[in-house]
Amino acid sequence: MISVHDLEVSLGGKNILKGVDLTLKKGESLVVLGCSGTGKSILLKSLLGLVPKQKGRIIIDGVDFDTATSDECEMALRSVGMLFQNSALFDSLTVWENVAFGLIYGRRLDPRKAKEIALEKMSLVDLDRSVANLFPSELSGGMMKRVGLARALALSPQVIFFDEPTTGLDPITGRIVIDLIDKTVKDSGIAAITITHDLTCLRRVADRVAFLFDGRVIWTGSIQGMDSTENPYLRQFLDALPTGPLTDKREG
Amino acid sequence: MNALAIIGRGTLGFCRACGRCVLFLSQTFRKGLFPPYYGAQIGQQMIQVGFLSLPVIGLTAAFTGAVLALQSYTGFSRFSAQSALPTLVVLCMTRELGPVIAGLMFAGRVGATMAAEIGTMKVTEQIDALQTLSTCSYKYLYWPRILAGLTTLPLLVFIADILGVLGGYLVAVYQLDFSGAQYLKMTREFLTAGDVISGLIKSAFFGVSTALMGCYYGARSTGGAAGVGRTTMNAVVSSSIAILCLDYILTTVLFHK
Repeated sequence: MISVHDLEVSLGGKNILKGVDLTLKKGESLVVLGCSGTGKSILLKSLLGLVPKQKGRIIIDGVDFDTATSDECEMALRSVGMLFQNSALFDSLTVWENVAFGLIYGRRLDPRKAKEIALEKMSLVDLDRSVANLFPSELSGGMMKRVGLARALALSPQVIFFDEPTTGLDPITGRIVIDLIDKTVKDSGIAAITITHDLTCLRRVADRVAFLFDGRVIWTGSIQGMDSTENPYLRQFLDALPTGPLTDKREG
Repeated sequence: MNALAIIGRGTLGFCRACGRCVLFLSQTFRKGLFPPYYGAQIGQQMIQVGFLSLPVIGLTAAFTGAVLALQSYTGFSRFSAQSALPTLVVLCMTRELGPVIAGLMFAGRVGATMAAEIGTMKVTEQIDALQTLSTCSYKYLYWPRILAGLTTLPLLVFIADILGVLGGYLVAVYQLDFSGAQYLKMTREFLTAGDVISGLIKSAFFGVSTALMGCYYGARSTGGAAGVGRTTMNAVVSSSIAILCLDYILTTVLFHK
């Protein structure tokens, strides 16, 4: 579904990604772990073409972004949805308008038909119709995540990127959102890449884990493999140890 | 040596920024001119940018015309040329003060609003979200604003010209004892269509440059609330400077003999 080879991204003269290799199969749920500032969000944004890459190949749904036309790239990116870290809802639009946005402006659907689809997607993420006419500023953090998820689902993507879906939520709401993501992704057979520091979230949603450090994926494997890993970097991260190779290298 | 390096860096930075602005504008035109068009967004921007700017621009123009009449009268009376006052007011308003004063007010109101709005959308990832929803930010965000700047500022300047002349008329007739009919006759006598049209042409350039600065700086915002604040300030300062520079260039081109 997605294949990344030797991806390099620099921002403001600083090398953020230094050769990332990654694959995501159809229907698979991959969780990308890593310390803050290792470029996890940049990785997702570069896959979406929001951040330019310096080097490397990105192939989404068989479309190689280096050789494809801009129309082919656009079509391939239509199969990808994203739930942003802070939901990134359009604050001048109501909940249903946010959910239907991509249908109305991206796919040019009739607004009445788009509203029907939006209400249907809202019910998928347990959002009541009564919130349809509220504005994002009137919603709680958990509800905003649900609206963001419904918005990403509205375009029927084949892959969804989740950028730290539980950040800023209390543990109970975080758990509800994780369950919702897990249920939605598995029920619809969608592939997912989730970025998180939350180990509860990881254990709930991951089929496979990739650990990003110093701009490269230094470990990939299953949850069982992760639990029994001897990799000193991942071990320090999982055990939340203040000293070890991760902190030594960062301080160095 | 150090001073030269600073000047060199500043010059290169300025040239780079100008180049990026031009690329941004050409990209906006290239994408905006082709479908899909977002009519509702264009209409909404026309109202926000044009119609809602009318009170502040109208008021400024009326007072500018009034003050111009008062000041000119004082000056002209020193060499008994008071009768030229209506001509001076109308020519100044249509050729220079109408477009520039309206342009600067427009830059303060509209440039700041656009930069703050787009800047906030940028730092809260709403512009990234647009892209993931198959919506081109150039077509949805920037083109409607630049089109609104291009079309509404000339209309606003036309109204400002009328209100400026009206301000001068009121002062001249009710304060300086001019005859109303004589004032209007003098106003019409030396005014040509070229005077009005040249002002409207200038204002179209001012409208585009203001909207361009608002969108360009907004789209380059980084760093949260402080970043958006800086962006807004840069947009207003740059668009004001651009208006004054463009005014000189266009005046040279339009009135060159």
